[in-house]
Amino acid sequence: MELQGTAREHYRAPRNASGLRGVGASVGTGTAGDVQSGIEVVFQIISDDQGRIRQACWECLGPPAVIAAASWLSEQLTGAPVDDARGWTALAISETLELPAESVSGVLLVEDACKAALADLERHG
Amino acid sequence: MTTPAELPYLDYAATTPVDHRVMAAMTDCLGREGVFGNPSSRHPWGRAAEALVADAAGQVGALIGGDPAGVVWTSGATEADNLAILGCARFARERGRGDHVVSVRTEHAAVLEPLEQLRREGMHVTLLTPEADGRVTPEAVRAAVTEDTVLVSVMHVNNEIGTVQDIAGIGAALADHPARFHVDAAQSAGRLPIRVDAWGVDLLSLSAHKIYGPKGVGALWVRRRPRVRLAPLLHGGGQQGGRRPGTLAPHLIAGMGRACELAQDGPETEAPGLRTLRRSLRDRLLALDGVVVNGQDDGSPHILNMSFGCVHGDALQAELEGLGVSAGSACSSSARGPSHVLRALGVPDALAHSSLRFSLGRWTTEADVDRAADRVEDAVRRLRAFSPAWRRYRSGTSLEALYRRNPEPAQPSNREG
Repeated sequence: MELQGTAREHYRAPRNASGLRGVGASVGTGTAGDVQSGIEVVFQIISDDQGRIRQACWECLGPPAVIAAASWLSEQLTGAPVDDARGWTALAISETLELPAESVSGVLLVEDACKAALADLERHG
Repeated sequence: MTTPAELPYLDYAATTPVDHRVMAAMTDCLGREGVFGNPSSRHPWGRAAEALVADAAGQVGALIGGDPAGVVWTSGATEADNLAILGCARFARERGRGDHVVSVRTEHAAVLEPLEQLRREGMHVTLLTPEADGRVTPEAVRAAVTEDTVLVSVMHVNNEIGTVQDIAGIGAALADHPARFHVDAAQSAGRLPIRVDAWGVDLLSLSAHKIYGPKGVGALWVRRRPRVRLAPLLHGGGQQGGRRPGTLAPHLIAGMGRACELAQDGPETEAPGLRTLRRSLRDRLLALDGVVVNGQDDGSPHILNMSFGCVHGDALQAELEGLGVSAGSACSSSARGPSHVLRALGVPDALAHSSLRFSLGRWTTEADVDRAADRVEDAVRRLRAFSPAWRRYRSGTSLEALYRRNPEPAQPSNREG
């Protein structure tokens, strides 16, 4: 499973990795997958008072493609309007990063964790 | 793909390079001036080759403490295992002696697959589940044999985890039972002493390329007294008493013979050094924390299998590209699912997936081990830096709890940054 271009760069030097915060009013945290099944993704979104994402960060136990996807998505989301974050799907991420087809199920967990983080943000909002 | 010589090769359990002394013995058989004859021919060229084959059988016999006349040359340990299992069980069943075979779940595919074939042929196979360290006790083996049991097959050293079975103890436990006792010794030869006569072994498989000999040749040693008979797999010109027909290959046989001769002192001369290297590699990697040794803590001197918790197996492999180690085993990559050996030991699949097998050999240096340990340490630390599992492990959740069930979803700690 060889990663190409941008995906490879993100796997080699992941952005916004770890640095998760505790629960807070402007913090949304979401988790998908579990250790037992081999892949777990935690995504966290911190919003500012303008409805934009001040910071997106993540943790991942997973194969290179999923690590790359989490890193890349966190970079896309930083500074973007919270509403835009809902638009990202695993398929879109996989296509943009030219990820191998067999990694889609793992990338779905990135999408799920991101959506769960947004839902959590709404609850805390 | 290039394999730069400066990268450490730690996959000697998969295969070994051929020793130059072995190469010399082989070269002497190839050319017009060499011993190239057909060992079955009755002219001087044939007789010279026949004598060379007899010498090589003597070298095999000396390595394993058995009668050289029992040596049957094969294409490798896979054929030797097939011949032992299919040949022995079919012969016994044809004579109405029974239809039951006992073996272990952690055996090599070259044993498990012929056992599966026996099952398809209507025989009964009992596969024992080993203890957590991979061993089966002589008592467990003895308890599994019935009056219908015609064959027991237990490997000496496991190729994935290096666990050493108590072959002498199992042989003694079977001493009063007519079942034949087969041992796959492909990994133990040259690393541990082998004594077929003293241990009550009836059939023993060997491979040349695991002991610095060439690929493509192996041997099945078959007890002559009392005589162990086999139904052959191949039918042909009657060479090797009909047990394995086909023109013998003097260059391969000479190579295997020489390799066995060189391996004979291995348990005393090479094994202690390998054991020291293995221990130092083990200790360095255990210091990473969240790491488990699979198999015996002090098993075969040349094999070390460890699971690295809180990292994904594919990512670990990607990090270690170019390093000569095996993930799980050479025969169980992620594409083929988790290793049957680690499963039999009860290692959870996700943890088994992030396992590495290091296997050391004749030319492994301390520097090789250090460089490999550096690479693995860097890889594991880098991946753990953003692993939610590692964060939970650091806050007190055990590996067992992490991998067997997820008691609670990951929650970041209540501190900033």
